[in-house]
Amino acid sequence: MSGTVITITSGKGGVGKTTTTANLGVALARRGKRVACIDADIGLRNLDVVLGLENRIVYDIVDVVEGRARLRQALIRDKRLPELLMLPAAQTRDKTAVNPQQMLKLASDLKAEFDFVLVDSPAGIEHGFKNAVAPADRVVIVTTPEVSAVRDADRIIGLVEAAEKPKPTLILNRLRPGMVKRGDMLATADVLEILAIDLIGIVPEDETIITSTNRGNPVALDGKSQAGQAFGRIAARLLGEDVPFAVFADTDSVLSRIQKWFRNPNGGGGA
Amino acid sequence: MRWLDSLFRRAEPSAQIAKARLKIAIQIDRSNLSPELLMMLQEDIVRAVSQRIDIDREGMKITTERGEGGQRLIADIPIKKVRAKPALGE
Repeated sequence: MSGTVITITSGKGGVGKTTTTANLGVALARRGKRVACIDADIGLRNLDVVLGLENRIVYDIVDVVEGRARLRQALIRDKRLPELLMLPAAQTRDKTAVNPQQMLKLASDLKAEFDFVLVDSPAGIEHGFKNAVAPADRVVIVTTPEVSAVRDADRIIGLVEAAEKPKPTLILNRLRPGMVKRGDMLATADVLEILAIDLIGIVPEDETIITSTNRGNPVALDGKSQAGQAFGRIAARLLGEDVPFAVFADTDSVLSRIQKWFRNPNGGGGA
Repeated sequence: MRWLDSLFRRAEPSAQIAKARLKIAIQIDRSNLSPELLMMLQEDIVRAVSQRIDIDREGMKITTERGEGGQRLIADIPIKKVRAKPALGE
């Protein structure tokens, strides 16, 4: 069998690439798919903490590439989801420790055993980005509805095209429906008009992302939160299902703040 | 009563400002053909088109844009007049 390599990238840092990779990995594994997540951000390892697997790392991607460990030894299996495995980045090396040819080899080895190989790209457009995009069968671009993130996404779309990859699809992350309604945040349609690529998902801003990441339990594990459900829908779309795009409630409205306060009075619901 | 006006007039929504600024910034980012190459292309086009029609060289503009079907080169060439006797090559 041959799986699909999906690279998750953005250009700008801090827009949610790692959170997206972790949650799509979880959501696909929950649907019974065998998934390997690769942390391609060498020197700034983070996928491990977001997935809650940081205490189990023995070998990393550079150990595999340089022949000190076999791929099987370096892959860490998620105990909550046995179909989900992660290949951690090296923390003490830099991005030049791996080259695009080595990434292609690694990905082709993983494709033989997994349905999906998700590559978490580092920010930027340099060496690490090129490593992450080299093995991609599909590219997913994560952006937030902010000028800097959208501009960088546009640059990345150009570079993905230049790498002769299929047209990337877009995840619009951290959307705040209340601000969009007031005209104070770029709407989904605005971002799509500017970037001219297809949408594969919208993830609303959700405090649950922070609390779940604090615990090392990605939101898609239980799928109860808005963001967790959004990642579940994106996973379904990646599998070719035709899932309608959700319309999100205005979480900034006075009513929803009151509701939030009643659910969690100590949570500082006013903010 | 200016203060009253300013009290009730809603400022332009910031998302619209963001969209307009982004469009311009991205248009500049996308025109990744070097200025030198664009100049050379402009000369080539002028030479070719001038054989058939009189054009306004000063008013001519060459830009690049990326849309649905990929990147495109756009030449905006004001026509002065179509020559009475087009110089048809062979």
